[in-house]
Amino acid sequence: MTRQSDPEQENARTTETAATGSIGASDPAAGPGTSSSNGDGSAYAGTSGFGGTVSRAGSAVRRWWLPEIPFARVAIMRAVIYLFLLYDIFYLRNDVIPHGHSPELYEPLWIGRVLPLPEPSVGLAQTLQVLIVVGSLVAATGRLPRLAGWTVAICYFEWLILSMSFGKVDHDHLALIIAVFALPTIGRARLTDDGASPAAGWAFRCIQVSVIFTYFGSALAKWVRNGAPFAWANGAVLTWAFIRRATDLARWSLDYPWLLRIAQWVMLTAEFLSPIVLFVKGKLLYLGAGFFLTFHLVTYLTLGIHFLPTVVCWLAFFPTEKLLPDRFRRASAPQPAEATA
Amino acid sequence: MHGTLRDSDDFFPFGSMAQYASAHDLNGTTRSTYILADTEGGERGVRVPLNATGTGIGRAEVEGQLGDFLEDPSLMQIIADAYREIHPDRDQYTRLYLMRDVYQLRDGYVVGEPETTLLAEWEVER
Repeated sequence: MTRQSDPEQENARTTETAATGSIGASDPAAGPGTSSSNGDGSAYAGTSGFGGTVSRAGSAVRRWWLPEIPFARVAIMRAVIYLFLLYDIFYLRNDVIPHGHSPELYEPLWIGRVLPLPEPSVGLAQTLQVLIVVGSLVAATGRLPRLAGWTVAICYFEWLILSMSFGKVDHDHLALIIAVFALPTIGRARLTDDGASPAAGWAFRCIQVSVIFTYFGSALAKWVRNGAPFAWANGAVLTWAFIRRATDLARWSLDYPWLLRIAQWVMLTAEFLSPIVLFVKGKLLYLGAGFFLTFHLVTYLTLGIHFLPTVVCWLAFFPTEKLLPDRFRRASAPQPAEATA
Repeated sequence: MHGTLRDSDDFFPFGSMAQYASAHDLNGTTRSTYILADTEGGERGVRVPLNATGTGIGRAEVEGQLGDFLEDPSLMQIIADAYREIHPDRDQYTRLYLMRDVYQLRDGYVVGEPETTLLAEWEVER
């Protein structure tokens, strides 16, 4: 592990400091955090070699989990995630209100049996819908990040439970649920706020880990279900999927089962290797992200399976604040004290 | 993680990431379940829209609870009722047929026409 938790981010800052002097101010904030954790490490290192190793590992873990993430990036992530929730409840998981007509088919999942959750009904679904819409619109602007954020988190979670407790559970929402619960923990973060925070870093790491677990976990599931790590890749799962729901773009491939088997090997291998993405930067990170995003595009074009809720969470890997127009950066310059408070 | 290792969907949202995780035998069969209906307007064997906007119940949800539907075909009444509530202005169902197509695979190729089976039927009550 290197000293910097996110050199890619910090390098970019230092080059910008001279030019704008605003976002660059997050560099000093990142500095002390890193060196103090190193300080802990060397203090323990003096007492015993083993303790030193443990505490060095501990501070490496801490640095990895708590990178300094700029507030502007948080604000962008919030806007995207909360607006996406609206798209989600109206166009993707839009079966919750219709499910209210068939409460007899409700088969509560473990969480629904453990928690005293309400039975599905049209009225409950409509109430959740209103709360999610209002809460998301407020939270997307960065206002009331905790109140609006937690309200949305709880209502959206219940929305998904009602969506998925009728005999079919989808696996594309894990990262989005984590995002919805992680974002309120950051607190205030406006587009024009200067500086960065490890609290944001923690929340973003949670989202990143859950994105990657969506892939790695599915590789594990294939291993568990088929008894050997790569048994799945030699099966006929793509043929099965294409028979059931292939688009016209994909039907031809049913005549080339060997090609589908190669695709299965590529997919499974990539899923097992996916955790690497959590520890690389720069080109390798973009390459990994590019691979998985292309994978989602292909499954959408061939099967109509889009995985958008996971796709949108990939945003947590990238320094999106660099795309902001300059005026946002200059606007933040006069108020550095407020941002660190 | 826990859900994945136990191979259970029950622990949502951490449940098994098992979508498309079963390998499927290259010489096995592939099944597809669906519901057909006769309607008040006299149509025979129309496809019941098993999705969010049609009946509110998806095809995969029927397949997920298929054992219950086979044991108790009256559960199809719920689907007819939901369709009536969601689309009161459409041609309503009088009789529902739970169907299954089975495709035979050989070496991963689809062989021949699917074999269609009637799994259950239900006279819709008003």
